[in-house]
Amino acid sequence: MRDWIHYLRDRLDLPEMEGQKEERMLLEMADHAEDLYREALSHGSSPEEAIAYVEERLGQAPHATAELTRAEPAHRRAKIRRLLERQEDALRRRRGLLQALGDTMRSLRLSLRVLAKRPAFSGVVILVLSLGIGSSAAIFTFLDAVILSPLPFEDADRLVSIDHTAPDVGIASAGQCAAWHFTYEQENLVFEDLGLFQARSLDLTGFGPPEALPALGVTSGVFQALQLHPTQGRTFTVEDESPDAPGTLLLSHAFWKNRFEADPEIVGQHLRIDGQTAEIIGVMPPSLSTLWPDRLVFFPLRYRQSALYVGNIGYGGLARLKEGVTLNKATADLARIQPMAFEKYPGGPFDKAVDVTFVPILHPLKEDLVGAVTPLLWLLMSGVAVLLLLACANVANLFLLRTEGKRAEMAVRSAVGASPSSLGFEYLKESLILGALGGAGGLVLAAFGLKFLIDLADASIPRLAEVSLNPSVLAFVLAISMGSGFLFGMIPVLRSRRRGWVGALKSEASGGTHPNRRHRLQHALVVSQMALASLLIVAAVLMLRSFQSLADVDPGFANPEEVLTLSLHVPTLEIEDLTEVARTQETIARRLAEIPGVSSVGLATDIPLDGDYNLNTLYISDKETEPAISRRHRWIGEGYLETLQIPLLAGRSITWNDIHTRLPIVLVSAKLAKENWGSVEAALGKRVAIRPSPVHWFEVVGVVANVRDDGPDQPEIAEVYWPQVTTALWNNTTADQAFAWRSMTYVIRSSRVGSPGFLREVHSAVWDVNANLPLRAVHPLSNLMTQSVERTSLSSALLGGAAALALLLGLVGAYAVVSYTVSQRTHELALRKALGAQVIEIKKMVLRRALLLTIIGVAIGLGLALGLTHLMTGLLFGVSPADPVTFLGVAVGLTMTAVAACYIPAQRAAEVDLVAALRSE
Amino acid sequence: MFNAELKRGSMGLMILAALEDRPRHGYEIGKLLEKRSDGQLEFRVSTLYSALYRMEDRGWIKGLWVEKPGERRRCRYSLTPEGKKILAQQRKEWAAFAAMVNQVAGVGHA
Repeated sequence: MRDWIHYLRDRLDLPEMEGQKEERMLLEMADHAEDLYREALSHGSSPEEAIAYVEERLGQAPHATAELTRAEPAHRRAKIRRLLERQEDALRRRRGLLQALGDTMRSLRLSLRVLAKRPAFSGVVILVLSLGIGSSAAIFTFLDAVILSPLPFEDADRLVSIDHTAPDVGIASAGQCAAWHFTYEQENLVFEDLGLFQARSLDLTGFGPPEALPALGVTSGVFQALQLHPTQGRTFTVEDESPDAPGTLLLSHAFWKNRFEADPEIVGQHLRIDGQTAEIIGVMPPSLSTLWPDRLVFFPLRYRQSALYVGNIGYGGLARLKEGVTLNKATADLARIQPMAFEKYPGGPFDKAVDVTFVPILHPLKEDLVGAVTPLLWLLMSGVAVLLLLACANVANLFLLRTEGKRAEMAVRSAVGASPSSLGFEYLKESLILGALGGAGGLVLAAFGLKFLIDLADASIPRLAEVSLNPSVLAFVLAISMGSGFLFGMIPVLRSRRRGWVGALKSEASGGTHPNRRHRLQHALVVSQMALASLLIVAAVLMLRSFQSLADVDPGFANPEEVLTLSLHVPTLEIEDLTEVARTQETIARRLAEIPGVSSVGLATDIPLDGDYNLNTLYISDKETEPAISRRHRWIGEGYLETLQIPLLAGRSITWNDIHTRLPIVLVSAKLAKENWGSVEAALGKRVAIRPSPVHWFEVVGVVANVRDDGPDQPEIAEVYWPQVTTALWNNTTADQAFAWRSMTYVIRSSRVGSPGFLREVHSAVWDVNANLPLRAVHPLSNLMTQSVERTSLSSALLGGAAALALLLGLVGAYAVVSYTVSQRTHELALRKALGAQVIEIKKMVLRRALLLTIIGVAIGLGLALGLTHLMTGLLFGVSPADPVTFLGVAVGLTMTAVAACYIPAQRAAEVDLVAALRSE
Repeated sequence: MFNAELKRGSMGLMILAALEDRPRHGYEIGKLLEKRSDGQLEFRVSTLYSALYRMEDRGWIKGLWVEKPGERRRCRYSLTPEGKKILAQQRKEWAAFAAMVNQVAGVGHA
């Protein structure tokens, strides 16, 4: 059956009727239409004829609509009549508009024909504009989606993140902890709702191979503060947060769609999570992925209030401010409440560690999400804006040259009565058309560029899912293409206004004004192009040098591309005893080392660049009276340092034997050794502990090189390396009670990393030991390296691209003008040559001008750069925003390239033939 | 063929008559009227349905969606008891009216 319903719905445009009568009408009439169609076919009509027959029987659309609505009761009919009248009015108006549009189209077609006659000129203009507009549009789309548009939540400007800084130990963002959260929840006067959350990984079993699900633990306040409601089912309540409540889960929209094929009956089903059953109680809306794009499931965070203490910092917090409450007022309120947490929830590590004070700090939630990329995107936007200006200057230049060529024609037309303004309007119309075509081309380029950019930006830019060509981008493109069309279209108009077309021709005939004066505008345009190009190139080179500096930093470990990392968590339900856990972890390490091609294997609680660390107190035996200090701690098995090739500077490393015998020893980083004992060697034999008055002290037996744990652009870290298994480490562990962590990250060094089959062997090695352990965060260590410099590499790549385009446009601009000037001066040059000027002298004369223009342009550009690049300081690394090498290099390089580009017209000038030149006059 | 006003005035009666022997759907009604008039009566689809809906609103006929094996789901109209009464009454009125018109306009005596 043909789709008559669709056909009729489009044609008839029926208004809403009582009891949705119009829907029934459509169904019945569609049936009727099908019958008529078949009837016609059965009488031997062709399908086209059959359709025509149906159309005839259906009658004209407005008529039929009016007739059908007559079936409505009288009191509704008046309303429908008004509706129909409005529709007819609109139709009439549209007809008037169409006429006007037709006139415009005719005039446009004429202009298009004119432009088509000069395909080279039009093509170059459209290409240059498309590049300028397209790059601006693509970056603007990012800027708009990521930074300018509000987060997709109700009253999003009242959403804030709750964080804490620890200025004493230089931690800008320590996070939130449960004890603070509950204290704030009970005592605050400024929030409508607040929530606590933490990203974790949950083990999913019984649903294919064991799998680590990226999950987010939340208190019920998180979704309340966001005012988010599940698309089906219910969200968490306080009851779900009770430690004794049955397990519950919410699914992300993407997980529900991709893994459960959008099953409408999903609510009430169960999954096996971390060895226990959890009920799926709902599906969250897609907008949640703005905040947590990679989280697939959400589970309730559960606490026993009696067991809480201030510690375990590293959670996230968010809140919705009450109406009218400012950020400052809210921060002040938290600062007032925060000390209460230590009384309400005592016994944590920071009660005594007096060298650390945590200060609550609030940020707008959007800033928290996109703050880090805001300067980067604005830098790129400024870069492409400069490129667009340059493109406009370039096109204006081309237009000017063309005007020169058309002056005679314009003068004649002006003499026979065309008004200057109508002639000027003709230019303007052309330039607006070219602007529009450039805009269209730019839009196409932007669409392609956007896809490329999204791939390139990958995970380094938030809210990528929201990036798309939307109406505001279209408005932006329309504005800049019309704006630029107007800009370069007005230049020749203004020029003609001043002197009139005839005047222009007259001065030409009388031998011309001095070329310098006549070309002043062109020269100004060349200078500005050179200035803009050098500005952009300086910015790009600074970014490139930053990227280079980052790559040159010694992170403390070596050859990360040959190291595979993976994390394993041994849940209590799998193995309860910690000693047994540690033994399993060791067995897995030994089993991994047996894989062919593996040179060494190690394990640790966290690895460089993974964003995790354990911050805890550190007591030093000969400084016992002093307040404790907070330092980072890491627990390692044999082979960790060797696998990452972190150099041992003094003493020895930790072996399996040390771990088995529970030897109370530690390693420290060189930075920690120096800050406490003055030198690397002095650290050996010194003793440390995590708690005051320990059962036993741990002796420093080795000092290792510093590692840049937080990324190459971050400082080196002072830290302590503990054996994988210890006794009497914490307040609550005794001398005969072993302590080990359940989650460890393995590092595997092999030249086979990345080769096919290797991952499979790694999986089966782990599952040989225990088949219920999912592998998490499996990737080469070099991925983390790449990610840590991704924003710098992204911005240097994009700015580099823009700068290359700028260079090209600048050179083309200079070339075009010099070349045109040479052709204008053919007569003069030929005479000079005839009077005995040397070829070299003529070349010099031409090049001198190019050199002068370039030098002025570059000087202005570098001056601008000097004033502007300090805005980039936050994005630079290892290079000053006024880096003399960069500035000097760009100046010399750009000048030389520009002169080289102008060598071709200079050569032509030198080869001028007197006879030919005179003949052409 | 015939003036639209004329057709519309008598349409109710013709539809009621078409439904007298059994329920029919819209297309069948249209075809039957066409056949009974030897092809002289052709309705636009919208005219037919507009009339059907008005008659249903007045309670003369009743539409019912019926699905039969091997056939499309169709809405079939049948006469209500009220409709039967109206049919009988309109037939009488129309006969009287036609006779009167003939007499006044002198159609039969030409």
